[in-house]
Amino acid sequence: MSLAGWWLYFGITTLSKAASYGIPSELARHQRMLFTEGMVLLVSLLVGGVALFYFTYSTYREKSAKEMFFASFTHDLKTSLFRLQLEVEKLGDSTETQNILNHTRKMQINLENSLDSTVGHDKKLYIETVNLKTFLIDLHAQWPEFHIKVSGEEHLCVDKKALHSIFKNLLHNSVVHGGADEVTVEMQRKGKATRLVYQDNGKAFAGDPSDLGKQPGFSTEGSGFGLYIVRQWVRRLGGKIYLSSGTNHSLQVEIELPGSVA
Amino acid sequence: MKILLVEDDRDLGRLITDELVKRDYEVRWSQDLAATNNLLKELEFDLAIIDLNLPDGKGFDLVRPVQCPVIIMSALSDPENRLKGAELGAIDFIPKPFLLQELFLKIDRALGEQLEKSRIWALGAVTLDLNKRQIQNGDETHLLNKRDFRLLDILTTRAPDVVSRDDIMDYVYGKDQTPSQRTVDNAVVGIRQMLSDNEHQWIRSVRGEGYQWTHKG
Repeated sequence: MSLAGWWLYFGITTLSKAASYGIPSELARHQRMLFTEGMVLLVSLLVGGVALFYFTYSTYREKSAKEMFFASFTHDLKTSLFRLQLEVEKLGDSTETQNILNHTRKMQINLENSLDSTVGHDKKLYIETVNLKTFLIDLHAQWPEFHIKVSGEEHLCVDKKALHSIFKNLLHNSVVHGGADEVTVEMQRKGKATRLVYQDNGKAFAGDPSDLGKQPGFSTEGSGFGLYIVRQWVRRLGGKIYLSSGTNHSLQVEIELPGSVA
Repeated sequence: MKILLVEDDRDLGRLITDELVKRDYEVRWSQDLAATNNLLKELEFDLAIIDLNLPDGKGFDLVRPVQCPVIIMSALSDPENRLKGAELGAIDFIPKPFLLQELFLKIDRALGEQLEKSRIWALGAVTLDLNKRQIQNGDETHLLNKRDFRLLDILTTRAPDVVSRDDIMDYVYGKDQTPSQRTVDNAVVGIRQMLSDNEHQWIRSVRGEGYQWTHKG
């Protein structure tokens, strides 16, 4: 556009100058030159536009194909994982079965985190009213080793999938890195926002935890990748997150989400 | 209680049906839309658990015709699917993979919490609910870990008998683990705190024997 603008300005000034000479042949030569230049510019713009459109379209198609592949791939993978889990649960309640279930749980979290960090960024959110206690009772079925204390407000407005991912990663982090077996979740209303405070009884991270998860790291283990995903979700929900050392040097995560339920 | 399960995967359908039957539900399992529609002409259900991806269409097409509470289950937990399910009237959405315990909780909730009332105890200002594996103490809810749940489970099930520490250890930790008796004592202390049972009113220590659940509810 700026090139076309410049050409228009250049053309008008050149023609004005040529006209001021009062030589018709000179004026005609300038007109021919400007016409040729203009045509070249127009063709370049058209070709550029078509190329841009083509590349945008092919990128969109590539992205759609990638999403379809991931959707189909993860559907199959999740179904297989589900079969495995159910078969293991059928074997009864023992340390061995619980260990296998913990492994499948870990696989599931890693799978979902990989998806969220690759193709999940531009998925729409579905904000609904969620009862935190009921939500945690359901989630607790997957984390039976935890004693979870819940207090404060009951409802919050949030995307349930995001909340799942946030809590799964926090619990995974607490058990794997902190060795925790007890978690406290407190929810308060803070003006028009909702404040969630999560604290475990595990051992703290060495150093200042406030920067944890700001970068994705290079592996899904021990590099704060789970906390990176938590940060991404909180950011997408329009909230804020603060990590600090809680009482007894455990990890405390404070999440502020927009909106509250009266 | 009659439950309709719509799941096209044979293994999953069989496994879920077996587990629901074990819990005394009457289950009819179908694998596609056509078979389900035929079933609906003959039978009525108290609850339907419907998978989204079916060989002859989407499980959404069944949400209204079944005319009973619906739980949708799917590995595709995109917001669009959850929103569409909710708009059609599904009461819950459970993303695959899930654990059976999670499904049972949702079924119990959907069926109006028609649970065994005998598993709920009002202990003064505290409520112990072993169906939901929780203790409600004032504003605070404790979701019990597996160890505490099993400990309370054996004490309440065997009440008014005294349960020995050895029996508790076998039941709570399994026979393949050998925790010390002190571990059991510590767990009981923790539970008493959650129940605000400072006077040992609900869980009584019996010297040289073990523990006894004393509530007569």
